Amino acid sequence: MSLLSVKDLSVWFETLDGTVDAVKGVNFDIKPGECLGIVGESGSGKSQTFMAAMGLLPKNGRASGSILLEGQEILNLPITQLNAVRGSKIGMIFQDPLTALTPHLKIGAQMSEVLKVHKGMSSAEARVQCLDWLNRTRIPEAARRLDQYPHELSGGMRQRVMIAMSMLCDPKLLIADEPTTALDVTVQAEILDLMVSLQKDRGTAIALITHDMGVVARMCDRIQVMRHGAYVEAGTVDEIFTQPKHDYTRKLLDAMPRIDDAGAPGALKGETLLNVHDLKVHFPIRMKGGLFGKTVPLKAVNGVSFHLKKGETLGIVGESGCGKSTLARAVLKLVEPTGGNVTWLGQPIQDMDKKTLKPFRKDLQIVFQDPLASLDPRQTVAASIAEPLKTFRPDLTARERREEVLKMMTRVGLEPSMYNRYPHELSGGQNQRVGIARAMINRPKLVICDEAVSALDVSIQAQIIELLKDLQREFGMSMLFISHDLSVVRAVSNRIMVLYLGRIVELGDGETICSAPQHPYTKSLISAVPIPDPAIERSRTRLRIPGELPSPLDTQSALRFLPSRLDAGQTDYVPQLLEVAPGHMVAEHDSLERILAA
Amino acid sequence: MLAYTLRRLGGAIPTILLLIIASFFLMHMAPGGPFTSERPLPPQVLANIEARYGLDQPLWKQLWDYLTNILLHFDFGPSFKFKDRDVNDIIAQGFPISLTYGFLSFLVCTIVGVSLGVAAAIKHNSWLDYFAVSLGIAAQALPNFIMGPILILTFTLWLGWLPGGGWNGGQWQYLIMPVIALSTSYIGSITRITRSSMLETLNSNFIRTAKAKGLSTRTVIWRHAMKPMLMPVVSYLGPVFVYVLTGSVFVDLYFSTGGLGQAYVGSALSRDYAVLLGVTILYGMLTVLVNLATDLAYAWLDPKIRY
Repeated sequence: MSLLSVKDLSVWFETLDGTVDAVKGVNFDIKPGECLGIVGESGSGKSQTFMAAMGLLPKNGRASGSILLEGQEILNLPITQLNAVRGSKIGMIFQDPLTALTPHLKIGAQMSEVLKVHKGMSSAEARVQCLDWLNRTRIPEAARRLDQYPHELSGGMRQRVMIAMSMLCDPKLLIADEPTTALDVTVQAEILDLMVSLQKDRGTAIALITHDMGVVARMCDRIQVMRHGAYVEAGTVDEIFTQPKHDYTRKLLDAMPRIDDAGAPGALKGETLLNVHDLKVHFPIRMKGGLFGKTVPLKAVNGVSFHLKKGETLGIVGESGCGKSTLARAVLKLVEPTGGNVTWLGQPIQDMDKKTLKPFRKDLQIVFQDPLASLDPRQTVAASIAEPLKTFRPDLTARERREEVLKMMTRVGLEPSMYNRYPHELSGGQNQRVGIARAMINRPKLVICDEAVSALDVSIQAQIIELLKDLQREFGMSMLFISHDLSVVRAVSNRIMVLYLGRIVELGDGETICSAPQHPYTKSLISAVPIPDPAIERSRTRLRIPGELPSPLDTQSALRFLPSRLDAGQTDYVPQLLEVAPGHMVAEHDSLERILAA
Repeated sequence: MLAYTLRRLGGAIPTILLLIIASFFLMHMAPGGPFTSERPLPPQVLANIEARYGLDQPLWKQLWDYLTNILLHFDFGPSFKFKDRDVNDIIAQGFPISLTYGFLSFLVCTIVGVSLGVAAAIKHNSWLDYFAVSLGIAAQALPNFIMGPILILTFTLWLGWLPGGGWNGGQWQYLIMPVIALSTSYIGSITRITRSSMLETLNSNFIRTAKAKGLSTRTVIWRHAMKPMLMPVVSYLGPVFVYVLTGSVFVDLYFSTGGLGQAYVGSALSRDYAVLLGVTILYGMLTVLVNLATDLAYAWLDPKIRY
């Protein structure tokens, strides 16, 4: 008998403009103890299916059909009856662990209220049980966490708390709505491992809602592919990955960049455009201590050197807080570097004032992560694209400018009819095309892409990557491509730089970094990246370096891979970059056994 | 928390000093003085009077004496207009009255506004919501200087239920109309702010989590939504508290309560700069104190602010 049986479920929203169908009559079952993946892009209705089951639809949301949990109808139950089910028989974890916990309640208080409501436990009993579950999620110092507030925990720890909280009553079904999307890749690997072990130990069935085919390949037994509110294909994980029947499934699989992709670009030869030497950016941070606190430097970028050739793409990867965005901004002097040199075409630019630097800006452009937020909402897209033209080519007449803009819009795949549209009228992918057109309009020599495709759906992401590569072939610009997603970086970069807490740990051509990494940190990063192929995923071993990503303020953490120096008391030792092969730089580190033992 | 409070207090002291000095100089820059009149006094008499109030001293000396008297003895000096009365007396007589109905108005507008806003948000798009929204807009269009005459016309002159003015030791009949007049427009704005803040909070991710845990609607609202919802409300309540005290100038005049507002306006008209200056500084100090209280309330509502 199936655990959850969904029959003919429809979900729609009543809006002022009429009804909007989100889910159009879907049927599926989840068996006890299995992991079902529900895959689709944003707006496909994959979350709404389960929101309806949990009674969490927005006020204007309606649902019809039937959802049986162990034979009991739970769709459209009155809240009081539904409350006996949710949190007890069904647990749910959400995408964004940073906002999913109540900010003003301590972890212990939030967790124990579940047990108090469903099991009628006393505070003391509940606390014991909560601690037990926190320990099972392998959260460090679990007992201390109970009395902390959510903001004192890292994203990964908060997601562990969410999982512990949803597992407190031993639910039969755990609904995980993009549980790792907001997390760094090594943390993602840990959270996925945790979910697998829960599934095995407790026999909990998991409904995993995600857009990431790699995650699905690792986790799921069966998959439902969803598009426009309907299931287009269903099958076991092997069927879907090896013999996808529907075009859309194939499209999704093709769009996923893979870190083991053989066709990715290799190293380039050519003249050097940009030379960065020992670049440092330190921010003063106010810390607790004394009546007035004290200021300590946060070393966001701490001595980074690299060069960039003409027409080359250098990928910059690293986990959140490693300084990759700050590095990019410091190169463009959008933040003031604390030290070091930046040389552009043989000219040092780090000491130039705004006025002298201005003509250089024409050649140095940047594309940001959030396409909607980085465009002026009150300007038409054409005005946004035309703005750099006005600054750097004031001789153009309005008509010439219009023609340039239209030419660039066509080039990046925007309809000329969108000329007078506003950013909020366009989709995320279209807005990012606007951002790229704005950056490209003056034919710059260097474009920095700061997480430029991270907010986009896979299929859109693939299109934008293709567009960037096309533009690079046509205009020959160099790129600094920053992303937390190693597979994406691999797909576009000639060389890859791996950053850890403001320093380079490894730098080499893409192939070397991804298939033969040397530094333990790079190894752990690469091995944590899910590959959209269930056969490979099952056979891979993962290198796990225990512990959370440390804070950049912690002076010891810089030497996490050199414990021998720490033991020798050399706490301010700077690991040197060694050239192990031509063009392949690796930071000094101890042997893996030594690091794992520390 | 203690260090935070101390640091905040430390910041308040220079603010108050600056306030006193700035008000002092502004008052001295105003043309004319308390003793200039249509018929000029003989120079000898004027000099005698000025010497009596210390006005013949150099300005820095006057400021120094004024400052030390306030800071060491909380003494605002003598009134220029009323012989034998000093500013402290005038404040002591009027301030308790202003404070009484100002504080009552504050309570009324907070309680009514917050309850109405919360109820409207919970019953979003129901008749209760529409009622609260329209009441909010209507109330906001009725500042105290409009409400005052309306109330007197209705309840005193037309219905004859309530006395049209006076204080009478603060009996309830005398309190009702000043409190209503003063709180009405703030009820409107507090309702609006509370409603939109509550709607936003109820849409947030942690409320979804709380619901998914199977908590009752009551627990979700009271335990999870209330504190975050109050953040913007509290930041508005601070200024409102100061407004209801200073806004009472009109109410004092309409209802002849004998509050500080009456003395304030009277002293402005009669150029009694000592009283004017004293009351201004008192209101300023109150503002600083209320801001401090707001900051501390913030720390209570949001654990992230506890330094």
